[in-house]
Amino acid sequence: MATSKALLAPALCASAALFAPAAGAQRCDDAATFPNRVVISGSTAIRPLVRRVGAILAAARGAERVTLVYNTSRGSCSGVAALAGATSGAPQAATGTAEVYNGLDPDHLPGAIPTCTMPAEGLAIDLALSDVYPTECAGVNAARLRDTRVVVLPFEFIGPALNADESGVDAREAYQIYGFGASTAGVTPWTLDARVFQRSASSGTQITVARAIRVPEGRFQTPTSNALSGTGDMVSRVAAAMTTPALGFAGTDATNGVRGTQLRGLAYRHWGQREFYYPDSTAASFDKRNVRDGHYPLWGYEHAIVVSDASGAPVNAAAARVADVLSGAAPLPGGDDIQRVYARSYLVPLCAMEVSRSRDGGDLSLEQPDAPCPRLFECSYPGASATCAPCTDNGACAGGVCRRGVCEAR
Amino acid sequence: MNARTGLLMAALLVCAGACNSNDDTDGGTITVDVPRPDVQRPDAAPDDVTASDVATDAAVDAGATGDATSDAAVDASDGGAYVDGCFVGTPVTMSDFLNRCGGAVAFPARPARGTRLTPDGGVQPLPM
Repeated sequence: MATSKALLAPALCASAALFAPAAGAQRCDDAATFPNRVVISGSTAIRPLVRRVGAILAAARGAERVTLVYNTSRGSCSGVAALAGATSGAPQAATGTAEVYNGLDPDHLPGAIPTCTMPAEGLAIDLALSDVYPTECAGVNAARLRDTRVVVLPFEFIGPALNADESGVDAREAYQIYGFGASTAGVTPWTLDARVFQRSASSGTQITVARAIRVPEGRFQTPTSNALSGTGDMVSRVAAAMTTPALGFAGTDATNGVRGTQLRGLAYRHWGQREFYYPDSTAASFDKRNVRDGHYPLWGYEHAIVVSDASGAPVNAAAARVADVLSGAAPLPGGDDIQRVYARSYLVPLCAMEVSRSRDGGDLSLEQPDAPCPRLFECSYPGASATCAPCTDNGACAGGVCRRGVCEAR
Repeated sequence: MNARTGLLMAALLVCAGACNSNDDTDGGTITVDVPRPDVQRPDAAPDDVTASDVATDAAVDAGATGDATSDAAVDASDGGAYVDGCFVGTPVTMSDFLNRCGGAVAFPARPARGTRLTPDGGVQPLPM
């Protein structure tokens, strides 16, 4: 046991460093240092992806270069509300500090990300990232918001890597634990209130989980100190439980990279479902098979949201371009494919999905993307065993279609 | 007769001989129980736990074919059927998707736990 803890301690320190921004000396509004600035706020669940894309955009040349200034002090709905305030004459600026990604290698990001300091009056938010539809956010007037679904973000219940008392959680169990409190619910092994964690009612992650387990997002029962402000906190606090059973939830882009070293992803059985499923086909893979085919319902769309004018046109062209890059409507500078970036980031491109839904937690429907990319996904996710021979035209694809340099079936 | 129709016919025959239309806990057989929970309340509020959820999940815990059993429905309008608890065909309802045959199951199913389960396998309403 002591050995295990000794081994895990450095990993936890690394985790803390991973999510902790470095202290910033530069001002975020320094246009010479941070040209073509786009201020982002909202979801923290998607932070690992923002870092990767931010580094790619910062390394671009000329007009393609964009500086993402990512204020992580809000959750999904707080970010959307702040952005939507601009449409009603009550804008809320981003204040404090923000992450910036100039000079970083997107595939080898440092543990401590540089930050800049906002001016005292703050900076207007240009783009909000949200794990849920803007209409799910209480009090938000979404009339002047352009909402683009960019990628599928799976969520999972998590426990510490060193505790293997249980491998799955049933929706009814999660309902009891979060609806009544762990010590009241008596769902073994999660019976200690101090070891059950939540986010907040404005967290897109919590809203998504709430819809699934049918506990209103504002009525999760945990000790106040266990209501965590961001995904990074969630990962750190659950991992810190070490060998003690603990329960939390987070997006797979934050959990998959530390699976086995800090966290254990739990299988899930939904209401009315016969079996337990991981997001992936096994506890050790990253293929998101059960997300893509509809067996695993704990997922939502990541939304890139910008303000539009009365005609529906975005008012901030740079922010709209970032949203377009994220959706694949505009190319990612440097020649990489955003869908491959998503696959490598433990997310699921929309074009790799076989199912869709029209609202958070809503029922599933069969999905047939216009330009499907399941093969691209299957040879791009971390640990993928499939290899995809590059193609340049349909002739190399034996009746299939050459798309994004990969042979797809249709 | 195509393969799907053949499967549907076979399932209907099995059902006619072995099923009670009101019995959704007879593990291993194909039964019929409508309406389905996820179809009945597609717009259910997060804290709405319907009576049919209770029945459905009780069936899961009974070791029966669970929702698949309760939905072991042979519903021609859906173009599919439940066979041995999993759905074969083109999924339409949430239950069809969740219980579709061929999924990568994590581990053998177990009963749900907790003090706020009701005797029939459902859950108590949340405290106000």
